Amino acid sequence: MSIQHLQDQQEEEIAAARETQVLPPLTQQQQQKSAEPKHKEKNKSKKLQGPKRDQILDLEKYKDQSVRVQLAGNITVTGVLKSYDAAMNMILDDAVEYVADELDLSKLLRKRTLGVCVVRGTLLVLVSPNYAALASSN
Amino acid sequence: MSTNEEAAKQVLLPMELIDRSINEHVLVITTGGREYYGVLKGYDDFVNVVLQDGIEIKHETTAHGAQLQESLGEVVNKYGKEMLVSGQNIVMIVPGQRDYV
Repeated sequence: MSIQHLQDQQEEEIAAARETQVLPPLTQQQQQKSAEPKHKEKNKSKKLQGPKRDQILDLEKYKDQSVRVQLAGNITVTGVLKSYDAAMNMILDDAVEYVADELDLSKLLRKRTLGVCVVRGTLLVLVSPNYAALASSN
Repeated sequence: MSTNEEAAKQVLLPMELIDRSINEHVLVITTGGREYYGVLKGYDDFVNVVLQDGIEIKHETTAHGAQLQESLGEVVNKYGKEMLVSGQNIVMIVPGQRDYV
């Protein structure tokens, strides 16, 4: 189906309508005007569609499990994931903070227990699950 | 969708925990090893934080790997009645009272 064909068809329909006096001449313009926004709407919805973007990591399955979170500033926190939001802010329970040496990341500068803490999603570097299980297997 | 919303209502969201910590002592940990402790007076969408009677805490960084015992760190600065900590560098907010000298 070509556009030309469609246009011809439309013109024929309009001409027929005019003959039967169902369609006065003015309504042709009106029809075209009313048709325009519809096309625009279609284009817009096409742009909005695209692939659906869910969260790339579903933290729901790690809830109430031990996780390890690395943050900016050579800070690693382990704890039980209690809750999270869309911005990847998290509440960790029984959190333990490890701070590594800036120049030698394998050197642990200090470790301390924090208890309940809120981790900001903006400065989050890495999340990995089941830290406790991994640590005990090593 | 509705089941997700129901589940969300049961669980305390991170921002809700911050909200509940208002007028209570919090420890604000930032990148670069600086920490601020004080009474949380307010916060905004960026989690810029206003602390009352805030103090700045620093941990000794000279003990490379050797010292692992927990210490509160030392108070290096005391701020006035109100201070604002920019949310840009805040990595963690830990509610709860701590005994700094």
